[in-house]
Amino acid sequence: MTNTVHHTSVDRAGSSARSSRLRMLLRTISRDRKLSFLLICLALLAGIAILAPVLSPYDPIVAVAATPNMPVGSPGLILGSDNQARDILSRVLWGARISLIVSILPTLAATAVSIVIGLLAGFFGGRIDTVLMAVLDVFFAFPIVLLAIAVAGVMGPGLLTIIVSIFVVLLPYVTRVARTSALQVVSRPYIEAARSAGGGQIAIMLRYVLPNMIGPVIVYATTLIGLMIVVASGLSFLGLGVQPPAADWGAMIAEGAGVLRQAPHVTFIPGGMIVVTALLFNLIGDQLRDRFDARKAE
Amino acid sequence: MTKTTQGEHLLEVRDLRTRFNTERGSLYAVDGVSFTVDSGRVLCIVGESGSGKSVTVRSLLRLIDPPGEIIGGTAFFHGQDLLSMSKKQIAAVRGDKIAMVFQNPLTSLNPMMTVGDQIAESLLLHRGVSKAEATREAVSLLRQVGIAAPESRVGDYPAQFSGGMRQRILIAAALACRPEILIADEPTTALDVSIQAQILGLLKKLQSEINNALIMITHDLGVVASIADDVMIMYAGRIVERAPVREIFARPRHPYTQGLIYTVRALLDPDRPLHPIPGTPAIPLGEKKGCPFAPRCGYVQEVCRTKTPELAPLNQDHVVACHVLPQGSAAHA
Repeated sequence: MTNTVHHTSVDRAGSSARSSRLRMLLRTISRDRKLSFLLICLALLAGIAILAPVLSPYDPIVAVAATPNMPVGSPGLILGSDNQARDILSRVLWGARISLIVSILPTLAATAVSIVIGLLAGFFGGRIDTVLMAVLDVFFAFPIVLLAIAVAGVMGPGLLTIIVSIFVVLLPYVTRVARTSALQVVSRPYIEAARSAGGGQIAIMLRYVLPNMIGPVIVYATTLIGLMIVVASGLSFLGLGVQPPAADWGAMIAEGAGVLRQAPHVTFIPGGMIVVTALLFNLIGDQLRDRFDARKAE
Repeated sequence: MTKTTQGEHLLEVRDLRTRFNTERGSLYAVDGVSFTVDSGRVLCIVGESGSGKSVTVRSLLRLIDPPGEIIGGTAFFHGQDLLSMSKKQIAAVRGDKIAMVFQNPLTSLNPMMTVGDQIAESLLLHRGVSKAEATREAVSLLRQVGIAAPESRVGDYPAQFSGGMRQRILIAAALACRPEILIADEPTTALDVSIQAQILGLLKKLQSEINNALIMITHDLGVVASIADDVMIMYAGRIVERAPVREIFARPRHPYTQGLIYTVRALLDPDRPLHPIPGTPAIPLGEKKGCPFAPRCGYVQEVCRTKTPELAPLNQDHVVACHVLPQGSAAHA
C-alpha cells in the first residue's frame, strides 16, 4: 500500500521535473518586468513583420501617391511617400520582414554552428582545439564588406548573399565566446564529479557541458543581432542585398539618400526603425546577461 | 584479526607515482605511495595543501589529466590493477565500485540538472535500471541522507538547496550504487562548523551501515579523531607515517606528525606554548636527495640530508619513514 503511494508520487515528481524547467523559465521572465516589456516589444515587431501583407495599406512596390516625397501625415499616407511616390508605411512594414530575417537568421545559424565547434574545441582541447581555432582565425581576417562583395560576385546580390556573408563573418566571433564558455565549464568541479561517477565522454559533453555553456553564447548572440541589423542595412545600402523594387530598411535609406534635403523623412523613418530594433536586441541581451549572472551568483 | 596478509585487502596500492610535467620541471606529486584499504574501516589521509593526498585518490580512479600522468605503481582491487585497466573498465568501476564525494558541494553539482537526475545518473549508467526505478531509488537515497520531503524535492535543482544539503545530495549520489570504497576529498572543508559535524556523522553512519571502506582526505585532525580507524600522514608526495588512529595520537613518531599533533594540542590549551612547524611545505620538484622534511625538522642529522628514509614498521600496524624516530620531545611537549 505504502509502496504504491510512494510509486505514484515519485512518478509525478519525475514527469513534472521536465516541465518544471520550462515553468521556472517562464516564471523567471515574468518576474523580470524589464525583460517582459522588451520581449513584448520584440513580439510586436515580429508580429508587424509577419502580418505585413495584412497591415500595409498599399502595395509597397507600386507608386500610389500623387507626388513623390509627400510629407508625414499626408491624407491617406500616414508616413508620406518616398522618392518614387510609394507608401513609406507599407514599405517599412514589408522591409521589417527582410531586415529581421537577414539579421536574425544568420546570427541563429552562426550561433548553432559556433556552439558545436566551441563545445568540441573546449571539451576535447589539445589538437582538435588548435586546428578548429586556427581555421577560424583565417575567417577572422575577412572584412565583412569585402567578403559580401566577394560572395555577391559568386552568387549575385540578394538576400542569400547577405545571409551567407553575415554568417561567415559572425562565426569566428561567436565560436570564440562558445569555446571560452565551454573551457570554463569543463574545469568546473561537477564535470570531474560526473567523471568520477563513471560518465562517458559524450554523455558528459552533452548533458553537463552543453547546457551550462550556452548561456553566455545566447547573450552574446542576442546583442549581435542588434549589430547585424545595422550591418545588413549597410550591405543593402551598398546594393548587395535585395534588389529593387523590393527593399529592406537599409535599401530604403539608400533610396532616400538622394532626396535627403527635400524629404529627410524618407531616410529617417527606416533609419529610426533600424535604431529602435537594434536597441531592442541590445537591451534584451543586456537583460539576459543580468539574468544569467544572477543565476551564477546563486 | 590481522590484516597484514597479502591478497586479503580490498584495495592494495603499491609504489604509486604521479607526476605533473610543469614548465619548471617535473613535479612528483605522488612519489612512491603504498597503502591498503579494508572493508568496514575508515582511512584518513592527512597532510597539508600540496602534499599529494588528493592526487593520490584521483590517481586511483585515473582522474588525472595532462599535464599530470601516472608514471608507476599498481592498485589491485578484486585482483585487477586499476592503473592498467582499459578506459572502459575504469569507467565501469567509477561510481559503481569506487565512488567519490568532492570538497565543494556548491560547485560539484550540475546546476542545470535536477538533483534526482544526478543521483540517478550512476544507477542508470551502471545498473541499467529504468528511469522510474532510478528516480524511486533517488528518493530513498535522499531520505537516507536526511533530506526532508524527498518525494517533492527530487525534481528540484541544486540552487534550491543549501550548501550542507547539497553535500548530502552528493553523498547520496556517491552511495547510489553502494560502492565498496567511498572516497571523500575534504567533504567538510567548505561547510560551516555546525554542518561539518552533521556531515561527518552521516558519512560515518552510512559507512557502518553499508560496511564499505571510506577513504577520507582531510587536513583537520579533529575530523581524524572523530572518524578515522587508520591514519596516513603525507608530506611532499610521500607517506611519512601510518598507524591506527589511537596510536597516531598517543605515540606519533615522525617529527612532522608530532609537529601537527602538538600544534593542535597547543591551540586547544592556552597554557601551552604554540610551536608551529617552521618553514614552508616542500615542493616535490625535480630530483631530490634525502628526507623531504629535513629542512624543517628539529632532529635533522647528516643522514637525513643524503638518504631518503623508507617506510619501516615499528610494530605490526605502525610504520614510519624516519631515520631518527624521536620519542615526542621536550621542545614540543
